[in-house]
Amino acid sequence: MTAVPSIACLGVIGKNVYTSSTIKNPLHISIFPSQPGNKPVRTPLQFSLILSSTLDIFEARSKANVSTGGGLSGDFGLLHAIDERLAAYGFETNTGVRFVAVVDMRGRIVGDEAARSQVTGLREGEMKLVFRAMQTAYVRLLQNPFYDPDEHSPPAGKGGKKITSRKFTEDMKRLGETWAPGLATL
Amino acid sequence: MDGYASAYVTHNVPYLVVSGLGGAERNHADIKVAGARITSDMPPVDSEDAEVLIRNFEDSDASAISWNSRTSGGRKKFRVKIVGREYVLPRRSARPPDTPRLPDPHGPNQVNRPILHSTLSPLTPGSSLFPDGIFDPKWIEKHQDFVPSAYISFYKFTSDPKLATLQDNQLKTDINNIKRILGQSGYKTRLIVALVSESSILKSPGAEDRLINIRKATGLDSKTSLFFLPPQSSAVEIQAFVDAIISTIYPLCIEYYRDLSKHSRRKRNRGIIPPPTSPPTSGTLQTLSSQGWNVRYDLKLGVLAEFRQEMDAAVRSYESGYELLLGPDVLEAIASWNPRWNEARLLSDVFAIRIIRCLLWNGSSTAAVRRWFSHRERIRDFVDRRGKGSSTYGWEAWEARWATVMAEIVKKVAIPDFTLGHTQFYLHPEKTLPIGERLEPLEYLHHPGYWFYLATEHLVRRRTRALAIPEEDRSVPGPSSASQTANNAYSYDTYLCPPPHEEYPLPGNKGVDHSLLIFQTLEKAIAEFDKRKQSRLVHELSIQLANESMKREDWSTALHILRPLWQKMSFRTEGWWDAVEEVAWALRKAAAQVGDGGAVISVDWELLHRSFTPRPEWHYDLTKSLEGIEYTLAKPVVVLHDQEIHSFLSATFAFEKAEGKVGELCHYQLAVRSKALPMSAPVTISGIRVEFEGSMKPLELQHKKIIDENAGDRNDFDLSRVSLSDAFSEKRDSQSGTRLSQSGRSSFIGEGNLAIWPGQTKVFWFSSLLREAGDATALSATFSLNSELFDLDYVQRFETTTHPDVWWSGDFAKKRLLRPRPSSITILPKPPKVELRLVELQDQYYANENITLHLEVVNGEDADSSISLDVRLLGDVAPPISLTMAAARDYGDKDSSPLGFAVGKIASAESSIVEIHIPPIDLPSTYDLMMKASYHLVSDMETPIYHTASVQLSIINPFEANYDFAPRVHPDQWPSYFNHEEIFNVGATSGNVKAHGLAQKWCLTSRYFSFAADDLIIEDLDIEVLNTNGAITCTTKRISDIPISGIRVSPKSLEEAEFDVFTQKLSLDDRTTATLDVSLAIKWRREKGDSALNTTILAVPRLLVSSSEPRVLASVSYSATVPSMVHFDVILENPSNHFLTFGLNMEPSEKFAFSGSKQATLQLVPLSRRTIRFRLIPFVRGDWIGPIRCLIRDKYFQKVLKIAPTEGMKVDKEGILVWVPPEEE
Repeated sequence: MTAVPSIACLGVIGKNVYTSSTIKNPLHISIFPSQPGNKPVRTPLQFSLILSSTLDIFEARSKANVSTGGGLSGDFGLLHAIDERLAAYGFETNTGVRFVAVVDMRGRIVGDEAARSQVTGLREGEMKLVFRAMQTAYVRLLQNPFYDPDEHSPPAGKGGKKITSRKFTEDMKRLGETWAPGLATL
Repeated sequence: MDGYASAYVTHNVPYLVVSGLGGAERNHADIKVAGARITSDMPPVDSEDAEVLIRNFEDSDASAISWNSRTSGGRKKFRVKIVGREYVLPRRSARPPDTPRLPDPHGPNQVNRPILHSTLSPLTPGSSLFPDGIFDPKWIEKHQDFVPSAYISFYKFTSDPKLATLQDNQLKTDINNIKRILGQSGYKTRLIVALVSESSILKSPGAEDRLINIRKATGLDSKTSLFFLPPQSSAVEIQAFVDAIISTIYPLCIEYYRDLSKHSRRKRNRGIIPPPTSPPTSGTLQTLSSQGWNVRYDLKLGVLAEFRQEMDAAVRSYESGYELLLGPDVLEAIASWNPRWNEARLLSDVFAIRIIRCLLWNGSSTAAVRRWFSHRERIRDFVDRRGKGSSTYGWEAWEARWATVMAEIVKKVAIPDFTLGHTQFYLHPEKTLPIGERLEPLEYLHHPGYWFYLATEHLVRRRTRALAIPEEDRSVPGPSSASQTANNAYSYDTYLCPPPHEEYPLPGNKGVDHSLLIFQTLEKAIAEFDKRKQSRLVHELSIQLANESMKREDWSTALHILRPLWQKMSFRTEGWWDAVEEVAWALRKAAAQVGDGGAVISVDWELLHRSFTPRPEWHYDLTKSLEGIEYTLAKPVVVLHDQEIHSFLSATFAFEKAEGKVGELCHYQLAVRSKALPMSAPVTISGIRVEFEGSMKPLELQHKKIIDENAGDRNDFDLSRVSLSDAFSEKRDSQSGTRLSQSGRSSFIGEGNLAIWPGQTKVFWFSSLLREAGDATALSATFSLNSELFDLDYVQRFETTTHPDVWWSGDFAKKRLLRPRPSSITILPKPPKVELRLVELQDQYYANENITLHLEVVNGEDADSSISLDVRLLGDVAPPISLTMAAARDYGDKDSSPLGFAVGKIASAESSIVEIHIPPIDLPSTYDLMMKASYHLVSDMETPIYHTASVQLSIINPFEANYDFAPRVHPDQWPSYFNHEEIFNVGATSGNVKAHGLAQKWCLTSRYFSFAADDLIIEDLDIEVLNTNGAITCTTKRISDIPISGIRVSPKSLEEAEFDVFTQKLSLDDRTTATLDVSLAIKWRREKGDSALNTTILAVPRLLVSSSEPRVLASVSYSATVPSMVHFDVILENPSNHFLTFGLNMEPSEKFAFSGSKQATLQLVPLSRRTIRFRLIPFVRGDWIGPIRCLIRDKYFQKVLKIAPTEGMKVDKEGILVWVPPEEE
């Protein structure tokens, strides 16, 4: 029995790019237990704090990217390892919306056969697949004429709604549950 | 790393002892392990140079440098110790066991000489390792702190020739003595001698020889062991001297440690365990196995390699030792209850720490992290199999320790990516790792903050485990309950952590304060994260920090953390409500304990917002906030601002219209919206105050209890009209309710029901008269909540929003206000109804004209107005103007100042006319006429009203002219020398001096052009002689006739006027050149009947008359007798004093026939003129004939004189043309 990485949490952090608004609110947070029926490794509050703390790194990297001209692909790769189990990976769309995937490195217990092909740890860029799928889902959400991005990341003022689209939530759920290291498609 | 002996974990650098500088108080030699004692009788060097030397050596001390190759490459290479003249080395081998100082009762064996080993060897009885220990950190200490690799001895080098021999001999003895002591001690410490010269070496010429002498007598190598500091060296030179010593002896010292390594390796390779000094005597004590010995040697080899800074070699030795230690023969062979088991485990940690350090030293960050992980897994496996398992508090304690160790190593290594700029959060794996390898995220080496954070997680788990210790294990073991202690020792892992009765003490006993441990580690983590500006993570950890403080019931610390966090956290501005909520509840809890009522109320206010999860058991009533809280402060007064809090109340302010005028009624609305939790109690505001910027008075809305409770005030929407009254009237009777603003301005006061239910929108509709002109903007609304327990002010600023504000006109009717800022209004001044009008304004005004403008002031107001005028003419060199009343000249004249000219009272719908006089302006220009009427109505004397008007006046010159100045033949005879004429009246006044000189006649032709916009009548034209130069008299006469009605000049037409100018020199003898300055004066008037006559004076260029040069004039006259004949006269004038001879040559022409001399020579006497007449018969009529080619040449100067034409002639380029009148019928 070996533990392989699995997704513990997927988060979408909104941003309004047209104004200097400080809003960087969570638009969506999905939390996944390592096994069906298990409790997630952290509480929802802890996960939202984890997502919030990735903003520090997004900001620091964006600043560095401005000077180096990097980061054009939007993939931020590993943001940081929160501890020995959880690590946050990040992606930024060109409208400033950020996707964060918190990976539990010992998330899923697999049998020996599956474990033989699995090694612990992740390759660089392995999370790109997840982010691409998240972006596709998000783009689909934006195409919905009833979805008003300004309502979710208001250009001024405070707060903002969370994403309530059932389809988007289901997409996230499917993503988080099916992803495993080494997958080629989702 | 505080659990490990510092010798185990610190990095090793070569050890250097510097003696003989300064006093003996620097001698810190440890006497306990006393061995050989180095002493010297020579006095220490105590000059100023010695101080500088000491400072330089202290500066080169490497004991505190970072653990990386960059800093160790600098000048800090040694751990330097400065001692006096005395230094004690530790014993090399233990004393024999039978010495009287260490009596051994168990069979001293005098027959066989005991084999002596090092005091730190497991073979030496009395050593802490005897008989089966592996390693004692004192061994590292011995090499790092006691046995130097080099011993520098400083001596004074005297310059006194008398004392030189004596002192040199003393020096030699002393040096040889130290050499001998060192040799006997068994250590291979190098002796270095440094001589500090006393004063100038120039005084002792034999110094060189003396040095050689000393060297020879002591056998010191002059290059590496004997150093000489010349006298009077500067600080820089001394530093260079110290650097030279260090860099010279450093390789030798490395060699010293290499020798030690060789020694250890030889012993390891021998593979035999040497017999102990005396065999273990009691019980079943076993001796250290050969594998154990190898571990010991490997550790020594590794440490010595670190001394040499050879990290690769060190890693190899450590890895080998580590494998052996954890192999089957060493740690596996020790029983877990044996204290040696923990010692061996500690040793494995030390191996791992040193390996990680060496890997980081070499830049292998990922390898280091992997080593960190693998050590943990090995030990976990070990503890699970052989120890007490990895689910004990002891294991978590070690895990926490292990993470802290990593954090501290990473900090101490000072990786540049982490220390410079603090922008990196983790390192990328080293290049040696294959690309695309799977890596654990933490295998990217993260900065120490993460490791500290990891430690806190384990500390938290340790606490959880500790809290699960059953109560029977927690009691303090008494002396009698030995069995229980033993039992505990079997069931609890106490490796580097306290036994269970201290880990989780029974109440009343002292023990581990877990929260404090977590708190301290968190603080370290926060410091690291803060350095890298991970503010959100810092906030997150601060919450934990506060929670730990609260667990310890250290409420004030918690409040100290939470209060600023609650104010500044990014969660609120960024909309992470669950985090805000967490902080808020924590702050409330802490504040309630401390008794900070202000914080409690602030938090309660915020927690009413709908964004937060409701707690079912909570009352959500601000009035109950302070229940059960003991005050430490007076009545709390809280001021909250909308930027710093997520308030459930929001307010918008809107004016109905963007513009209003003074005196008009203006409507505006204040909409208060509550987003409170539905379960919360209504909030009753005592008063709302709206502040304005600009010309509006502040507005105060006070709560008025409405008795009729059911009147729909619970509806989601409530619109009420509020009538306003001025605060001036109420100021006296209601002291408490009305607060006048500081500036003493009055305010509007209104009353309304300010009990706001959750989810309700209350709109207050106000209207008031606008009083002052200007812009007014509603700035902020202040909600005041005054109760017996507390005062709270919530200030909300009205910001510009992108959402359009709403104007509520009925219960459900609303319209959107599509203005960028509905909370502001532009108040225009009351529009003036007095008009200023210029009547009978001409199209164009001219220079030199008296301008009178008629200004009509019309009072369009409903009431009589008292008006005063302010008229200004603006422009370059604007002339002063004056005003008069047209109707009433008699008294208007006396107050004719154009500024503040009082027109007086004008009845409604009446007007009066004011004349504006502008004096003649000389130059054409453009002026602005500004007219301003300031007035007030008789009915409202307070409000000044202004009306301005402006007209542009452009003044042009009506005429411009050009001029032609041509000579004419003067009809008078020239004076003759032969006519005598008495000059009378010589003494007469100079005013009418009779001119006697030559007279000349000229013709000035002026062509003037009218630039006027309309017809002008010219009444007269005249030439005014302004000035004459060169003593002449001058008279002029107009030739052209002007009719009595004047010449009518239409715009843009050209007119011509001719004037005769007669000049005469005053004296006949005067022949200087004379000039005339004249001007043309045109007297004109407008065509209108009564217009005044104006004079425009046009300047004429200076005219040159009367030269002494001869000239030739031509004139034409027509024969009265022969109709077709023309007389053509050539008049030669000789005004000079010389006889002049001219040649005349008249050429024939095809246009005419002529009679007269065709060629002649003319002699002119001084002051004479001569007329040559030709008679011409032209062949044509009514035409110009010519050119008449008549050439006059000055014979003497051979100069052709030009013939100047007079009237009836003109000149073209070939000659003179003459007009032939047409044949008369």
